[in-house]
Amino acid sequence: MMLENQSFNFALALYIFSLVGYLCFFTLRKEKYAVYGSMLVKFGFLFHTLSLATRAVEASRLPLSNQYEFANSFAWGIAFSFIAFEWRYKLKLLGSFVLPLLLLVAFYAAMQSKEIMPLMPALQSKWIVVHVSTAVFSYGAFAIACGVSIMYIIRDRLREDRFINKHLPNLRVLDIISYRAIALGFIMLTVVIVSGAIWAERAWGRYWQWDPKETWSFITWIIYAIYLHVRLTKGWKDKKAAWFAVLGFVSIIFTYIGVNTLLVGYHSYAIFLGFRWV
Amino acid sequence: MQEDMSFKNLISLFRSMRFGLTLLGILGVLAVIGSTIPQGQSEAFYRMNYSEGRVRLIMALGFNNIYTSLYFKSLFMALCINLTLCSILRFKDILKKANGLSYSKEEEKIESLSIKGIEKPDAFIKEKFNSWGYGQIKTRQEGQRTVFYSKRLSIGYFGSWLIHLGLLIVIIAYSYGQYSNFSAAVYGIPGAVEEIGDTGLSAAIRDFRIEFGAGETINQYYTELELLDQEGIPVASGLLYVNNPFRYKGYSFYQTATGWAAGIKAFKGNAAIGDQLLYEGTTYIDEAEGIALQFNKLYPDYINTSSGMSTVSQLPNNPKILYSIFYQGSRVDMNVVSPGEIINWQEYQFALDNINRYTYLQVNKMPGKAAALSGALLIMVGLYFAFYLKPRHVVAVVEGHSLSFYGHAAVRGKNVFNSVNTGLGG
Repeated sequence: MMLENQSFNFALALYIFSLVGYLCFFTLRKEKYAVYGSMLVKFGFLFHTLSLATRAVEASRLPLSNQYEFANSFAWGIAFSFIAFEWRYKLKLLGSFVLPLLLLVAFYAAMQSKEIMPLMPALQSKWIVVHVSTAVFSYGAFAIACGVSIMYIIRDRLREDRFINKHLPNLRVLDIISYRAIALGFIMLTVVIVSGAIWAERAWGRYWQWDPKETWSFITWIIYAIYLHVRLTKGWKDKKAAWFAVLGFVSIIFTYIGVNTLLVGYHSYAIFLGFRWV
Repeated sequence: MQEDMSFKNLISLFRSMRFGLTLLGILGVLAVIGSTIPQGQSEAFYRMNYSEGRVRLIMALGFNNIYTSLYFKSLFMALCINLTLCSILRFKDILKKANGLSYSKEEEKIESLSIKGIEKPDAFIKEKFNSWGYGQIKTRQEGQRTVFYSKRLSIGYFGSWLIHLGLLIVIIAYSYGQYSNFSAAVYGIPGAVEEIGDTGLSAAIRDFRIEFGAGETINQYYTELELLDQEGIPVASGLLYVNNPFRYKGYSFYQTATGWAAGIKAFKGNAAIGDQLLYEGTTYIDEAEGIALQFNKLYPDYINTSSGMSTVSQLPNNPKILYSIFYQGSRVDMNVVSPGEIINWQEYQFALDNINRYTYLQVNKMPGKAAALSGALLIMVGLYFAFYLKPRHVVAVVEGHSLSFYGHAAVRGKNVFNSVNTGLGG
């Protein structure tokens, strides 16, 4: 538990310093800060992985089962996707836009109870691994798309800025990167919804019952489906599509945090109608 | 003629991507409303929780039952029409695209050279195609020109079509399932036999037990179930628990909930007037006497704290029953008692005893599950095709002494930003 906590805190601190590095790069416009930022986020990712691995060993299961564990894994998914996309597309400024999202989720995780509890009966299913781990990568990919889309909007607004022109790819490339992240996230989200439906059928008897979590996954799926279609329409491929990608991530955050905390449904595991639902 | 045109316009509206996206958008907005307003509650519930104006709006627009409302179903039906037209009418074009050859001389030009010095142009072209990773080469004659071409991953063209088809199957299968769904509940303590709706089957609960884990947390709920036919002959039996339903001839039995039950004995003076099983939250009613006793709650390991009654654990170490007595419709008494303790109210006596956990099983039969799963799989396969199997081709055109190459020559993955997949093109 101590190793897990310390690793998580180290990871959090390194992510914060990394963000500082990227923001310095963005504001002071010196490339060396981006190098520091990139290095720090990778070290942070190592500690983050160690923290999750330690918890997996301690709990004797994958850490995907409660608010803390999923938020922690969600943040890890964003970090993993960020490192992969930064390496693949050499986007030095990406950190300035994705790390705030990563830290938002990581801080949310830090606020949750870290106690390791035995799995409640409804969560004792092999489908939890497919359902939640694909959600981690899906949400991670969508976070990247959101960050890249914000870069797109900034690039579009500051067309004459020399620093932006040097360090941000052109609009078409940003649009394609965002599209690719969303394509990956969309496939994963579809797997999340389908695996969730199969699991719900086994646990609750119905594969779809408009539970708020299901409903918001459906809403998010619709938003990204519309995004993928409107990109093909003239006049929508550019800034409007970028805003759509940002809206999609807002929906992701609400699906994850808002639904669990504000709406009552099976995913909030409430006591229902006097029975203790199992 | 004019009628023909209107029909064509109507078809073209119904099959259009814009129409489909508009429907999806409206469904999304309705889903947001449905997720924020509790569904399926009584008007009194909304009156308690919302202002008068909002209640009027909710009830008038059917926002209390959005997902079963006529307009919600109509929107899905319209989406089905859109998907059907889109799938049927596009299939021929997709097939043509997959089998034919279409290339842009302006956008896809790779290089042009003279074949004057090339001894065997066919072999040269083959070698070139192979170096780009293309195998099978086809040829065709276009007037004076000879066209050599090779294609890869043409199956990718079917991606979006498969997604639309899959979505259509899922919606139809789900709608059919909802329409023909059978649902019932069976509950009782071990030994109870309950009829399952009008299925002709009865469920005999042979055993119900709870497995506790570390720190008295509940690890699992188990019900041993036996199904009996109309003559009471066992036809199937099995153990079911959460995430492991018991299935029989399309019926599925789910471990859904649990609670406490107690036997109640009622007396007036020394005469017994009632003896039955009472479930937590239910009420024993003697209409002739005008008296009723409600079994409000059982605290298995009772403790009275400054914040009220509570239970230390889920184990029945110190059980106490919270009850209410009603006489002629008014509550006249409310207290906690131990099991077996006599409750006296005027000339009536009650005893709640033999506390037991009961099991609550959901039974349903929902046709179309396999079809819905097939549709979902088609969507996933379609998404993979659409996003990751990008159809590619190379074309060599020989015209006189000139040889020109067109198409996608770069090694896969190297020309990252030169092309974008067609995605979900509707």
